[in-house]
Amino acid sequence: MDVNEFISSGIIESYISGTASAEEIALVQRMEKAYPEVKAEIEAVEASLIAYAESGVNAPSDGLKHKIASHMFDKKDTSGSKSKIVNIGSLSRSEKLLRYTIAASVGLLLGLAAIVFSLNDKLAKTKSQLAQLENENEILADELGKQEGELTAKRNSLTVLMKPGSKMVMLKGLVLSPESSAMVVYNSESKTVFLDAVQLPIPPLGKQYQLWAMVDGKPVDAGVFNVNDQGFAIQKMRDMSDADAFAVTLEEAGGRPEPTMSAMYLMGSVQPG
Amino acid sequence: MITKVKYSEEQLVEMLKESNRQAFSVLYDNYSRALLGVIRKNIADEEISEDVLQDAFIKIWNNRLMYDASKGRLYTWMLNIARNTSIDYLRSKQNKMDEKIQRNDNNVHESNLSNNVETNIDGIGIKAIVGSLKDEQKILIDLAYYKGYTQDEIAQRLNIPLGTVKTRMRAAIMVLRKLI
Repeated sequence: MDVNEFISSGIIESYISGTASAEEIALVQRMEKAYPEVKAEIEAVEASLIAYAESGVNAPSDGLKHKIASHMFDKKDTSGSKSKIVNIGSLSRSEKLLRYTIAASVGLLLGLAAIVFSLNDKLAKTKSQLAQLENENEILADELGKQEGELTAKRNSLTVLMKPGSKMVMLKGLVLSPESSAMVVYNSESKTVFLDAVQLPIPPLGKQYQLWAMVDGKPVDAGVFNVNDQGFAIQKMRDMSDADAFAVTLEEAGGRPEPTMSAMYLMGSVQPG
Repeated sequence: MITKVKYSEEQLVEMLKESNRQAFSVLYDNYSRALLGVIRKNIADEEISEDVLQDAFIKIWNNRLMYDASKGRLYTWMLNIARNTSIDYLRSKQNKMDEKIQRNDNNVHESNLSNNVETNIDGIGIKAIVGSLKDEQKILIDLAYYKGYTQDEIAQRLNIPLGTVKTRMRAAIMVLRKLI
């Protein structure tokens, strides 16, 4: 296809707007790889549309970024707790009122002092109750956040598994770690490779696990992945055509072009049919 | 104040796999305003739009490992999430309204399409460029980009030939290109 004709066909606008069909997407990506001017055009159309959307609004309010980040990263942060501020605020108003009265009438000093004590005492109690409630709240919110995360991960796994043509490939632990295991969901039609349910020892610093696909008897790099104590969420690896088997080795962080055979942890074959 | 640092698509996608605050920060700085712009075209209320933006970002973050470059650009993926989150919000609001007043309004998009949101556009130049879009071009870009209609759907909806949709879309983009 003529490049200029392609560029002016309106297909790139659909591609960026997310309204292109699967065939159109594939076509745009093929053209992008083949022609630098198509790649440049895609970037220009995207930048234009971003600028257009931005032109209609002011930037989001200043606190929003922090609010979202807190929501996702520090569930423990309760510095913005509303109820705490309201309670303490109303109590300190009554304290002020008390002070005013003390100044006006020295005779009432002792009686008022007693009230102040009792208020302080109440304040301390309220504070401690509040802290306890907040604590419980935090624990619940934490728990909920964790459950939500797990649910999302499970849902994602399920979506990948349910896709027609998807096959489960169980990777079994080899001599280095017989207890280890993992699952690859391989779809030879869409060529997608997902890694899930990884049970592997946490690697030493500076090392990373690397997934390999065996294609025509040769290992092909399918990407590195991290294992930590946070649990493993399903992860998309490099697309593979005609993989017969998958294996995992432990390599220098960032991976290597060839697998270290002596550091092979897992292996499993794609069942035919 | 948000400062945008330029990253290549590949760098951003790579960063997205990192689960740290820095990656989120870069993503937010680069796309939050544009995504808010998209959401505001569907939802007129500023405060609700920011809530929807927050929901959209949380979805983006939770699903970041599912992003598949072979299905489209990173921005397009996020744009889809922002649009869908807006539509979900409108549907749930619509449902509540239906319960209340038994009204049978069959198209949420329709009722919001002509919603011209009043905003402060910084820069007279930008205003002039966007203003120089012809109405017939603007409606096409807005339907495709903000509402997610395919070119076929737009042709049917506006009752114009598909070829005309394509040429007008292209003409609109040529105008908007002056924005960059």
